[in-house]
Amino acid sequence: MALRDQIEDLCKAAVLVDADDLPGLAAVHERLQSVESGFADARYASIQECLAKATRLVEQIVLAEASDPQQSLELVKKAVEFVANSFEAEARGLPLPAPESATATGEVAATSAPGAGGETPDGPVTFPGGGEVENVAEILAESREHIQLAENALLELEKSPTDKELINTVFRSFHTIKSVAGLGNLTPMVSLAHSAEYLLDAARSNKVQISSDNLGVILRSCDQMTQMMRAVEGTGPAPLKSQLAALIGELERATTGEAAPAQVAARTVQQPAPRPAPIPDTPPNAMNAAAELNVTPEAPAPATEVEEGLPSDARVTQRPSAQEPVPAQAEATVTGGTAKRAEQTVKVSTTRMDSLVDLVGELVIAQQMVVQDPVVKGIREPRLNRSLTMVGKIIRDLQEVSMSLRMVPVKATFQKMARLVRDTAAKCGKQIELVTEGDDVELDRNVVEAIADPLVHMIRNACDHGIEMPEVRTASGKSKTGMISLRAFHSGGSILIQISDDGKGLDRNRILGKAIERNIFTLDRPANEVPDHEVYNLIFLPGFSTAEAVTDLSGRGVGMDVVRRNIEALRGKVEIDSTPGQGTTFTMRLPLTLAIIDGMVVRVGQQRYVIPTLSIERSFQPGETEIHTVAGGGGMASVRGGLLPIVRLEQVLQNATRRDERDALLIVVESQEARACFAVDEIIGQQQVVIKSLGRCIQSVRGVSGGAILGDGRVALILDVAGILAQAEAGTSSMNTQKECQTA
Amino acid sequence: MNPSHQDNQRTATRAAVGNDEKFLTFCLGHEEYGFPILVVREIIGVIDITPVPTMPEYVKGVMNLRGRIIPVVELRSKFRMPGVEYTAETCIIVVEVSNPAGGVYQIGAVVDNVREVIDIPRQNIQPPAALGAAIPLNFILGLGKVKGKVVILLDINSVGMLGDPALQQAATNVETTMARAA
Repeated sequence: MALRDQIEDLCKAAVLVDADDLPGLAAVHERLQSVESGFADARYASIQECLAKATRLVEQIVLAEASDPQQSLELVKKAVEFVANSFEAEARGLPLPAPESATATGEVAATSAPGAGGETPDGPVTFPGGGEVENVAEILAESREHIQLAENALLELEKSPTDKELINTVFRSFHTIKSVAGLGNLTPMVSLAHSAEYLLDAARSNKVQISSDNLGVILRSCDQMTQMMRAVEGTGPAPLKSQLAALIGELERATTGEAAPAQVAARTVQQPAPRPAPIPDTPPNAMNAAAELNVTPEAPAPATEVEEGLPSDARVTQRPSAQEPVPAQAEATVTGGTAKRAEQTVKVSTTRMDSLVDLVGELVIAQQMVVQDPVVKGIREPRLNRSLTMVGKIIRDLQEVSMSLRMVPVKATFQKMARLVRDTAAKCGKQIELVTEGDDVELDRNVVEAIADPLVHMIRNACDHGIEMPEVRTASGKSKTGMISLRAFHSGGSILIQISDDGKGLDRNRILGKAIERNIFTLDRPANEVPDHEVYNLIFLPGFSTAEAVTDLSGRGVGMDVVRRNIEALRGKVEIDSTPGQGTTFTMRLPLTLAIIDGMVVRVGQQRYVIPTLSIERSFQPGETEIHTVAGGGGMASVRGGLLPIVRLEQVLQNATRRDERDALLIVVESQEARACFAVDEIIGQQQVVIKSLGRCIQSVRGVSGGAILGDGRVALILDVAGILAQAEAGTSSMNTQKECQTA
Repeated sequence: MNPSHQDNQRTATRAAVGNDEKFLTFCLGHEEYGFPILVVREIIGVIDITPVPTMPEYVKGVMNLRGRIIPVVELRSKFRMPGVEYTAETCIIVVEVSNPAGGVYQIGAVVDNVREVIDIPRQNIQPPAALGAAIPLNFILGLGKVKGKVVILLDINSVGMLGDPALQQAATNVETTMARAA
């Protein structure tokens, strides 16, 4: 577009705009910048300067930092007018209106002082006007995504500090956060993002080297940003103003303190359009605008440099107060990037998705009911049967797709662990590396959410208690850096997640000692006869902890039992294995999805029940010699040389039925603690069932973990093996007591 | 009386009665009872009920209501009346119960038969009097007088409360976890 047209556009936009017309101001901003780049020649230094300052003023108004937005806007309009006049004068060969320019720029300069206001006492950061914007939740969600992206890239940067792509990723993330936070009027977030962005910009143009200090500051910026986000949504306290200012100060010192002198590095980033000299940021409370706005004649970038990228001189010497103007084109690139991503994913409300999945589940059940109806089964029409088969196949496919809607890869959770390991290692003074495998393995999103806490716990433990201090490690011939490996993989219809460390392993004797000391375990045989497996499992008992001091990391003794309970609530299992001196491995076994389990449908009396296949070892019809009755009525069965108690399900489940012992089928089941045999009348078959909650009031039935709707529409209770065994034991002991009382 | 005047009166009465004064009446034994229509979700014939162990006597079990599993309560049993065989008229009224902890859930109530939806204007409802020890007072919203007979209006939130409040709270918590998980 010709410069003349651009100026016309600018004039129109400026005339129409109001101090609180954000989109209008954005339009003015854009046009100011495109016009500014049009005045590339050195002759137009003053015009460029004027435009630059006007741009800054507009930014201030937008970011609500101008002390008098109306007046600032007036100045902007005046500046535009001046520019337009200059252009006209130029076009007609008249001399440029110089004196007005000085006045205009002078005025613009004077008001460029950011209205940081007087001394405000320290207190938590506030977000006036923010948080009430309608789409604040979306803004925060997007910001969180970007913080996560940035963190991951930062952790990678530690290993490869010169990787430009990584620096760009972090830059883009902060840049996006700055934009969206600006839309939401979340000014403090914008300020922080801006300072970080500026440091990263310096890094990617090689003016600043990525050092671990710098990385630390940026990581802390991520943290403070997250803290502020929590404050906005009300789930956490805001950082103090002084903390925010201090962090921003650090970011700036990192930027300018190490600024290499003026070599313009050719940009490696595709920023096609010319960018006007970006104005560096300064802390909101350090202001002497007028003096600092003296722009040296060389400052406005010569054309070629502008096309390529940022002139460093201009950046370093100018120290005015505005925010860094981001050219429309750069923003377009960024949004272009997001737009590209948007083509590949869609945001859907989770309630809608859940109803979709529920409906598909019901469709599956309804289809079963049709297909298994005796009348339908008896139809001998080949065409109809073919159609029914097709319907069945399509529904099965539909079910697979809908189940996959809820699956997410564990990658995001694993990446959070990387940061955790880094921070924990630093705190402990140890050197630890986290290696992940199987990032792409997918789990039901609710499961992924639920294992985050247990994972954090186990990894903290590995860092705290598992991996030794570097000196200890070298002394025992290990490498100085400890390794924690986090693996996810499929095995036998479940997902396994393993956390291994190559640390010092579990100390058997110490564990036994503590357990006995705290009365959570009593020795019923010599200590060295207790198998390893049993000893290690003691750490899952409530109240257990071998840490000498309660650190804030772990050692309070609430950890592992909560971990195990959480995992079992997901119908998973957790196991430990350890080799003293070499390391420890935790293995979590989780179902692929919480909504469906693989179960064995059995009949006891008139009722049908579902036993989760995971808990079944085998089933068999016992011969006479394999059943032994013990005085008092409890039966035992020999299974592979061992004796297991027989649980009469009809007793535990209060299902009145009579059966001859010898006709029963036995199903060998196992739970975390014990093995037993369930006596059933018939095994109907193995199938996948959709688990339905039994309704609020019936949750607390021990031994029943839910209901399943079978093919004929009737409900079958899903049994919880551990609960049944516990119930059976309680029942037997009370029965025995009763009997004793009766005979006495 | 002038017929049109009568009609006008009737229409006027009908117009004046809102939904919160409509009740679904049903029978248990010789007495007639009613639920406010606002809590009634649907009425179905008796279908298969799967018994659940360790539940109080009056909780007959659970049933499948279009893919959702809801508990079934036998009102006769809850009111300590003798049980009877189910007949062709026996129905299950699906009602919505509000948990004091803030949850809302549906249960099915087995009744001998269902009668009709009637209007009982507020002035015709008397506060509950002790009806002997048979039905606890907190189950009763009031006694409605209509067409010369008395309808015992029930408070579903009390009747439908299966167990004590503490258990309810625990149940709500677990249900939330399961709901999020499933």
